[in-house]
Amino acid sequence: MLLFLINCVAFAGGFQLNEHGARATAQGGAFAARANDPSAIFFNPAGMSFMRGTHLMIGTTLIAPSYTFYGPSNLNSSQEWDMKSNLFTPINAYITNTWTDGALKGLAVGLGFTTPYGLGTEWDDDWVGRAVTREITLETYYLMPTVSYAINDFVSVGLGANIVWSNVDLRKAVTSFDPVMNLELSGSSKATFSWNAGVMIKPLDDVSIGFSYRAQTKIDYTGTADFHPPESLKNLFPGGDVKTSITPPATWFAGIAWKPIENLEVEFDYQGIQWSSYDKLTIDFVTDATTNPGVKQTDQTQEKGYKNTYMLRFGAEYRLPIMGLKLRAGYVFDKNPVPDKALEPMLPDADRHGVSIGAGINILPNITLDVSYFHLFFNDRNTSSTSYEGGVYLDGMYRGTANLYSLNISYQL
Amino acid sequence: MEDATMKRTSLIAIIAALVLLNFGCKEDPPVGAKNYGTINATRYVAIGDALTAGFQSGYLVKALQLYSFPNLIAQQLCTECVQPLITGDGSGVRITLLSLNPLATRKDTVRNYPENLNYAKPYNNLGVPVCTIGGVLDTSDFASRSNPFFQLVLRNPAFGKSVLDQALALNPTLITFWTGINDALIWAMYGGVQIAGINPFKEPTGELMFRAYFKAAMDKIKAGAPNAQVLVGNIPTIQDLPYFTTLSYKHILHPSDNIYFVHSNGSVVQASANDKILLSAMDLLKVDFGTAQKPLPSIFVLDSDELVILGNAITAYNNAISAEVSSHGYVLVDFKALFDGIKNSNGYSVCGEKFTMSYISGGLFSLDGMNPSCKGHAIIAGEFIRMMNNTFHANVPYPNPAFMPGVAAP
Repeated sequence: MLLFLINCVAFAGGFQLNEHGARATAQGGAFAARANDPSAIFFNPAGMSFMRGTHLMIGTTLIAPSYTFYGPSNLNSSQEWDMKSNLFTPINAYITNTWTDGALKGLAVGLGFTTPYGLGTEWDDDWVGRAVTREITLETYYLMPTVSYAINDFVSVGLGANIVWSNVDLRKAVTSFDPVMNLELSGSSKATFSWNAGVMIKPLDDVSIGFSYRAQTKIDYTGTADFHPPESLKNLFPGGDVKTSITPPATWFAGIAWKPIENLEVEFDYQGIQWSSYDKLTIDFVTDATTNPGVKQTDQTQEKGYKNTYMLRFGAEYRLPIMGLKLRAGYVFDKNPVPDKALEPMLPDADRHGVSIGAGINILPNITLDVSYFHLFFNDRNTSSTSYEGGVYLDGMYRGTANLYSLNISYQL
Repeated sequence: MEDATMKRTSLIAIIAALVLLNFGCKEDPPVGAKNYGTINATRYVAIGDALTAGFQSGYLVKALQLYSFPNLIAQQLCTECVQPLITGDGSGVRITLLSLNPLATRKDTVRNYPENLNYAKPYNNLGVPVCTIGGVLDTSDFASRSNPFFQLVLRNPAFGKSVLDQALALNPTLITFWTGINDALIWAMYGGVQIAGINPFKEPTGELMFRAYFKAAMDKIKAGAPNAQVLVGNIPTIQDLPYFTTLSYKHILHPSDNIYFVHSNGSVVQASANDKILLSAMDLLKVDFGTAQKPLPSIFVLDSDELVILGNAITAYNNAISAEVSSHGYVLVDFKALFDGIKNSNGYSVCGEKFTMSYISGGLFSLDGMNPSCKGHAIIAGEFIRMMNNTFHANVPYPNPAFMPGVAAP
């Protein structure tokens, strides 16, 4: 059921996604110190306890990326190759309930669903890097039953269980013979468990501090490979069962929010991402040359060597005294984790600057509509370091940009 | 709105716009625009042998000749390269892959002619399969030479009586000259055994004779096309070609037994890792030749003594080539270093594809195990272009081996 609803793309450095609600996205994702809507389940579960009543929120982000590769410079070329333009629509949905009096005062429970990691890139079948990748889709689905408790009016803590499903599909050309073969790999994981936690402190009336952490999750995939070989090559490239594993990184937010004047909130967040968990990608063929001599398919390992990295997030929200209208804006700097030698077209990452704007409005007394527009400026990224044993031998320059449109509807009981 | 407020607002808007425009640093692509520097490719001529001709898997055929390195170079330089494109099934002894595991091939003699047989000038690609260094100078009646490819490529004595005469008749501005490998390869591919009508070589062309021929060819080019830009390829390590490395000295049918063969000294001996069992022996091994009772004839093995002779010949030829190229002011293209590098670094990779020196699966060589595949030709063309770029201050992209067809699946 989820499969046709959700497609994900890497829209923070690496294959992270941080767009989990239009209100936060409009403010550059600087939200961990306030987390004052149901997306708290993602940004900082401790925020739930400072909300009131029951909230339902559902939304999506339309992600429209564009990339161009110039190269390969190892063939002394700067030819232009455009990535296929795809539209991705990850979904988020949350429900929370906070008790504001009685024996359970300060307790909140919630259930959230979103996609914190994902990746989708597709290039033309006959593009220059076809033997590296034609297409990859990585999807993760996180279901997050969450509780939080406000110890007093100033301090709250939250804890979430993460039940994770994921699938990955990969397609590339195998060019040893004519005609070229199309290797398709697809795998999925069983339910995998992880957790997140957060704390929120309001030391002053106009200041709020938040810290949240999501643990890394090693996801094991099993699936199948199909080379689509011509009849005569079937015993050399039998395909069959494959195994791989990917570890989405641990990530944490530390944020501080301030109300400098009536109706205005500003926030700055530092987000750390422990990308060193993604050190290599191995595809293990159950049937390979070591178990079946004569078979040409062999296990494949790509060194990734991602570096721990960070994002800087600035956001502001201004409340106009009409219809509860809120205007928002933000800025993000996203330091990419990919070393030059691991830069490749499955994930042509670069440092980015993001600028966001958005608004929220009460269209009915209990219903809020939040929208945002987020534009990402990618720094041009040159690599001349991919030509080494284990590298992709595809040097050149990547240029990218992306537009992200978010929409959420919230209902408050 | 007050004037001052308006000014301030405009100023803030302008600064904001500038900041936004500067987000996302723009860089230049790593390779500058294509330019030809001082390369003069107005009239390009390729002189050589099967390698130059685009001969693959034992034969010449249009579909594969289109990937000959001279044609690939000409495409990158946007110049003309007319070739004797053989129609239909091609011409030669065509090798077809029947099965990969177990390895099985079929050979068919095919004889067709160029579709452009009546082209009114010499071809730009004057590569003649089986041609030696002496062959490019040969002015005898080519219609009566034992190698039929001379007639097929040269056609009309009015264009010139030798390969070099026809090349110079085109008044070339750019020449690739790559021949001499056959002076040792033909001898080696028949296990060092002279066979009337097939292998005229009792031994590789002698060092002095090779040098004399090579000098004569260079002198002739210098005299006939004094301003031409000339690139000269040298001789790769022949015994590293898949024809010499694919079969083990252990018997296919009895993997624990060493193959018995007739040594060049006449005695029947067991092969060791120092002897090369030639690819041509495969069909005989399958019917159980190579045993003490039925030793492999000498023409199917290049034994360790012969390998020494071969190695010495290649060294001598390459010394001669280096010396003559240098004294004529030409550009050496070091294919020995290129292929030795591929062997020693266990492959050549580009755009996610890896090529090795291995037969078929390595991707670089055609089914005859000696002549390059389309992908191999692209790498060779790239090496010529790399040297042109270096020498003539040019910036021309290399053809992409990853885009050339691989070996046809059975």
